[in-house]
Amino acid sequence: MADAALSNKVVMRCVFAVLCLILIFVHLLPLETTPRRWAGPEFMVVLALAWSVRQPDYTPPLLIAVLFLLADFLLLRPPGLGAAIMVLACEIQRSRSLRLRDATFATEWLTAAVIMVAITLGYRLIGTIFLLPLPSLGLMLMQTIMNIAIYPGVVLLSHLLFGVRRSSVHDTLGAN
Amino acid sequence: MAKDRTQSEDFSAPLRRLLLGVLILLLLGVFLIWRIDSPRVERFRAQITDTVVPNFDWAMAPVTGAINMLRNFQSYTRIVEQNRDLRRELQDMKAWKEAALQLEQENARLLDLNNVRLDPRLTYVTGVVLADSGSPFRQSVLLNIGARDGIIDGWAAMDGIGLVGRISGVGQSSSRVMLLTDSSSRIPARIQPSGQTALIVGDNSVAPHVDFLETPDLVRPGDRVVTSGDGGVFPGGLLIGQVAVDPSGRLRVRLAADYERLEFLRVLRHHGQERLDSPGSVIAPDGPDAFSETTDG
Repeated sequence: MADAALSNKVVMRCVFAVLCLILIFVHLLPLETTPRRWAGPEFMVVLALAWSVRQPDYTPPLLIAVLFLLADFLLLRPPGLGAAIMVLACEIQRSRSLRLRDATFATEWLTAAVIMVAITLGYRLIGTIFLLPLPSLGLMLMQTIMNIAIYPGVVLLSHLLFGVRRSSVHDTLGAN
Repeated sequence: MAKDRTQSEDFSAPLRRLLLGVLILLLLGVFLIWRIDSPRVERFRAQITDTVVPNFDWAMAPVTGAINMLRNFQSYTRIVEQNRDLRRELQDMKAWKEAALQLEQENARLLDLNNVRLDPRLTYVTGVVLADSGSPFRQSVLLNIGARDGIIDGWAAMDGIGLVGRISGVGQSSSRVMLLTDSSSRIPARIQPSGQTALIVGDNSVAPHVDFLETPDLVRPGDRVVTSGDGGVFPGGLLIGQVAVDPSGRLRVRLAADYERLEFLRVLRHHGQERLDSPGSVIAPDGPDAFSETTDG
């Protein structure tokens, strides 16, 4: 029983890593070489937040750190900054996971939205302090709104395809 | 059992928090090092990109190809209309081609008469676009040629017609081209025919704007913008595009290069312009030898 649960955990961690690598790969495809007037959602952020509140075991901080550091390096972002913010954000989500276990989906969505806005604000704040060349506020806000809007879809897909659902109280009691 | 678990959590929670803090500090440390010593970390970034992205190449080319094919398929729906447009354009082009041929002959004759030598050192390496920047905030592409092919930071990249950007970051077998549209791109340019110098400043929009222009009154929409070669980094005389005015009255450049489909880029080899260092000296015969020679003769 314990072995099966452990191997399931390892498999799901691998699935998470592979999903993130695929998302980086799709980002890198040379499809849009003209500047865009709109910014799509950042699926990696949404995926990490959704999984760390639903199944914290699948998204250990070290994995998040490595994947987002790689993304920072490959996608020309300030290396380390995005990864540090995401590790922190996922940790907050993780600490909420027990409390949100029996909450409604709306509460979960709202929490995620607040965290996503906080990520954007934190990024801009640190960027301003360190005099980074920041992208336009409009584009970043648009990306944040898209992230919030896509959250239910990501949750639904990961529920249907990968069986990532909130562990209810009964499950935990039953496992112990 | 449940009690046991909570006890072990009591022990592991502070340790976990400590490790987490160390992890976040490490990541912030990477960020700080990048902020302090940017060139070294950027070189590291180029190396990472160089090792990771070419490995994806086998998958990237077919996926990109398939998606582009789908997009082209969408354009079949208005093929009749397109065909009519193309025919009309072709008629126009024929007239232009005739004019161009005549001008070319005339130009060749004049060049020959004046014994003009075009810059023979301006050769190029052609590379394939592997990947784009992957973010809506940055504009760059990755080429499959790098230090192995002799690429050096700062060289100009063009498509068949106009300037596309400059090399910024070189790995062993890949190099990054910062496009003119990126918000950190600044290219010294000259506007023909008035001959004024300006900077072409990218701002993450399709048309970068023209900055540091002395007398904007002399510039009209439609004027040609070429690189000036000021600063010795870029070769001069490469076509960038045409001047246009946006609704708010600012001067922008409509780029000549086709940014919609960047597939192959030419990187121009450029070894810097020769510089005149001495302020000029007195012209005299070469010392006593020359003098004795003249007396002998």
